[in-house]
Amino acid sequence: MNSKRETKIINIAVDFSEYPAGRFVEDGDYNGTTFREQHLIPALENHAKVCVVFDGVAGFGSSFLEEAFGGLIHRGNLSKNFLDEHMQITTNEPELQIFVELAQRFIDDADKLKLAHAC
Amino acid sequence: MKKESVESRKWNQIHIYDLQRRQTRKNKSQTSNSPKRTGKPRLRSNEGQRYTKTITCPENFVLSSNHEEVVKVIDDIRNSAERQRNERVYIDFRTIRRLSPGAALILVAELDCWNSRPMRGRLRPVDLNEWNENIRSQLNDMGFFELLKVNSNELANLYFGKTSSVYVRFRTGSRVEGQSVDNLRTADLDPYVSVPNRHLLFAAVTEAMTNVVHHAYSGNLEHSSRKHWWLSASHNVERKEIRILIYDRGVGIPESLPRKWKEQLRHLLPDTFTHDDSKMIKAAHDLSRSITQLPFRGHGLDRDIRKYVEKIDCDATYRVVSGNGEYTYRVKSSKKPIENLRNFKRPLRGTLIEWRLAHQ
Repeated sequence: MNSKRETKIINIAVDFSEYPAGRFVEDGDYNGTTFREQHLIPALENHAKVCVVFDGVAGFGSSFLEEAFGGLIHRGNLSKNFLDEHMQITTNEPELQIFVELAQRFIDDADKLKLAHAC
Repeated sequence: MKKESVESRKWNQIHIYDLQRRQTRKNKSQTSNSPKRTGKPRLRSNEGQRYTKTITCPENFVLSSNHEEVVKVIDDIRNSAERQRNERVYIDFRTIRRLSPGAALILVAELDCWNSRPMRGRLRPVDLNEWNENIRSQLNDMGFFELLKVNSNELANLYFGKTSSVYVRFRTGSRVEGQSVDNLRTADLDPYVSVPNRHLLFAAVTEAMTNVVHHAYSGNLEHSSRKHWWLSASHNVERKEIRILIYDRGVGIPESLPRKWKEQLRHLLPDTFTHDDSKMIKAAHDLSRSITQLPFRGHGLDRDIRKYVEKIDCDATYRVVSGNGEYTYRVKSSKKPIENLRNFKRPLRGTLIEWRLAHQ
């Protein structure tokens, strides 16, 4: 029986931290690995769709975004097609739009790298 | 064996405390009986009695215009802190007339590390009234006297000069602390001079912290006891200018580049290239590669840290001093960035990154 609920909204500033930073667990409390492993992957496993909201955060370093989102592919073994279908990254703050695009680019880059290694 | 070493450490702490007590008693008797001392240095460690080393600071304590002398003082302080011998150290601050925020932050970091060594005895400032009032003020703003645990009553009796460039209390940590970055902006910068694109500044500084955690204390410093970063800033309301600085005492950017990558460069480029730290710093940004050699890592140095100055509407300069090299990247009025490379004889044992932003 498929008990997946429709959409899970993860508001990073509310559900995780206003100050996400760092790549690995040892980097700091609000690192990309922890966000991916404790928030993103469980949400993707248990919900039909996941909406990640960037509103309210202080910003993102590349290390956090790459590990959290690119890491879904190169560490979490998910595919870009799956993420395109089941995950949406969004913000209402124009200054944070650059980070939405960057997270998407890290997913694309991780997918290209995975394909290149598979060939 | 373990028990013995713990006991031995306890004895040393008590011994130092005892020396401090005796020193305090001696000072009290000196102030009551003898005339005021003149010509004595400004900062003193109370470790032992046998040897005395005096470190005199140059008048111009600005890294960009007096690199060799400033770094020599920093080296002397660090070497004295690391030496185990029973020596008394005097650091003379009376001579300083000009102090840059970068040099002040490095100084603060060195004294912070000195104080973290229980065997070395705590540094304490003496004859504060003879220090230049502007320098005293800037060091006070940066948290220098708080770090040295100077009694607030002692500070209350001193006059602090008013300078157009105000320094900000330093923060330090060993992990990536985003809240410290945001707090620096909201509490110490934005009320005076607004920070352009706060989200990108957060990205730049937290990424610099991440680099410290991942790379700065690798190699010979793998077992270093204090793998910290030190963060500070300054603002100048008249010039509408802010500077944000982060410093670490690590191996430096040229040294942290991958060995394999350096070997490849040696085959491709003249021999002078790989012995030129400023070019190595620039290459580390341009080629966006880190020591890990993983294709999805190592982009933060260029994309977040350097390019921050390109993405804001300011006269902005990004500057890195690391090892023997200095690399600057200036963007003014959306024109093409201007890069500048310099090398010095005496290496800075660490990395200082500075973002200087002036509203037009």
